[in-house]
Formats: sequence, C-alpha cells, structure tokens
Amino acid sequence: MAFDVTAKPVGQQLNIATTISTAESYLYLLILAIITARDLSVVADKICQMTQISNFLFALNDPNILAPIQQKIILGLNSICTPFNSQVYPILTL
Amino acid sequence: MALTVSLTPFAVNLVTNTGTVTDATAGYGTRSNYGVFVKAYKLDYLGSISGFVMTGSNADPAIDTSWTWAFSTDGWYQFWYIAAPLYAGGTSYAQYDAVYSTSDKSVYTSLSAGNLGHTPASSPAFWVKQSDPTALNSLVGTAQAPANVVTNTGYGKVNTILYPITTYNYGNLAANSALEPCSDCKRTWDVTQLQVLRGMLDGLIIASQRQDYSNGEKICRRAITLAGIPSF
Repeated sequence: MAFDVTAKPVGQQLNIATTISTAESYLYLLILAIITARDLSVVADKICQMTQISNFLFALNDPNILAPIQQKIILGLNSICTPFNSQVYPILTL
Repeated sequence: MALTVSLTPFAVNLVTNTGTVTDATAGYGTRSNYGVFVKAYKLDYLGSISGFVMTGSNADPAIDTSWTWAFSTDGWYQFWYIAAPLYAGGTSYAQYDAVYSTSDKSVYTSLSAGNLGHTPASSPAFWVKQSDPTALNSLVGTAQAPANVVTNTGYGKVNTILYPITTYNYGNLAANSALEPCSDCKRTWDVTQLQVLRGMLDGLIIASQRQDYSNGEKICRRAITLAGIPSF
C-alpha cells in the first residue's frame, strides 16, 4: 500500500485534494487499527478520530458546502490528522 | 479485435441471497462467436480460494450476459472469466488452443498441432473436453495455455469486495438509533457500534478504490462479527 505519509503543519491551508488524500490515508490506517482490536473500548480514541475524519470528508464531498466553510473543515482535518501521525504509524505493522 | 474483459456491475439480493455479475466485456463483435464461462471464488485474507457454481442468464455460454451464484457472506470475491472462440471447421488449431462447441455447449482444448477438420465433440483423439473452462486461467503464462484465447485476451480474473450485509447491518443499526435518539444515556454502545460500522464502510470503499482486497476481506470479517454482538 502507498500511503501519503507527509505530515502537514497545523494551521496550514492546504490544497483540498492533498488534504483529502492525506485524511483518507489516516482514516484508512485508523480503520485497519480498529479492526484488529478485540475490545473496542481500548480504541475509543481512535473511533472518535475516525468518526471526525469521516464526517469532515463527507462534508467536503458535499457540493452545497461553500468554499470558506470548506477551508475551515480543511483546517480541522489538519489539526486532527497531524498530531495523530505518530500515534498511528507504530500500529501499521498489521 | 481483442477482447477487453469487464464484469460489472456486481449486485447482491439479500432476500434471495443471490449474487449477480453482468458481462460488460467489449470487443465480441458477434457475441455468439464465443462461448463465455464465468466462475465465482470466495477468497480469505491470505488469498486462499473456494469456488462457487454460477448459473448463466440463458444457460447458454454463447448468449449469456450475466451469471448468478448463491451469495453467503461479505468479502473478497474473484471471478474467473474465459471466452473460447467458436470452433471453425476451416481453421487449423495449435496444440492447447481452446474452442467452444455449440453442440454440447462445452469447451475443448486441442491435443495436437495442425488440428484441422476434426469436430471437437466427436473427435476425442484430437480434442479433450474441459469440465471447468475457467480453470484454463491458471495455465496462462505456461506452455499449456490456450494461445488463441490468450492472444485475444479472452481470459481474466476480476477482483472485487462485496459488502451488502455490512451495509444492511449499518442501515438497521442507524434505524434503531434513530428510533431512540438519546445518545447520552443508555445508547452509548449503539452509537459506538454505529460509528465503527460507518468507519468500516468507509474502509471498504477505500479498500475497493485501492484494490486492497486482503484488508477489505479483514474489514468485512470484523464488521460482520461486530454486528453480531448484541446491544446492552
């Protein structure tokens, strides 16, 4: 699998396609980490992150969301994904 | 004209537990010039396979446009396709070439080079009948591959991830949660389960886009197990 592993600085306004691609990769990593857990309570934080990213991506795909709002969502995605980076990647050896 | 193998869309009816795959292959010219066979396989996450018998829409490989099989579970599926050209009496066939015989709706492979004028169904010295024509896919890349089929790209293995049961379970769970919209009292587990299933559906979409079938199979197995856990 080829994931986008480039960490993005918090607060940086990114190209929407790049942001979606990065967020999607994080989302997929989270999902793969969650399915390996026998007890979902131990991955509650990851479920929360996964839900947030999923909802944000859903909103970004909505054509009714205006550009200024999209920028806020992109900033939200960056702030979620970047600090989560170091927590997710050690789990990658599935 | 060479064929471009395409099997789509895939559809599953959970009421009848029937899966259907439709032939969208391009390049047939005249469809009845080929005997087309498709077989479904279910794979585990390691890629081990088990086959399913498929039923053609017209029970005639020279006409069939779709095939059905008994659907039992979500996961990684693989469809083995082969289009054998109609036997032509004036054509000289090489050893291992494959042809379709309309008289018994079967595929035969040539036993010798320079095979000319021997009707397959009545010439066992020159042709051998294939009980599972799609298995010829396994010979591609070897000396025993049917060159006339390979040259025409009339073969292929099409992978997909099917997850109608997970989608159904998610819908049910969403409906149950909607009927009791209190998310901060005794509905915690339902909400968590709903979130996880939503994430798994996202994961299955991503896995399909990335053709990451092994992980797609893993997500399917977990999603079905999760949906089977009773609420508390």
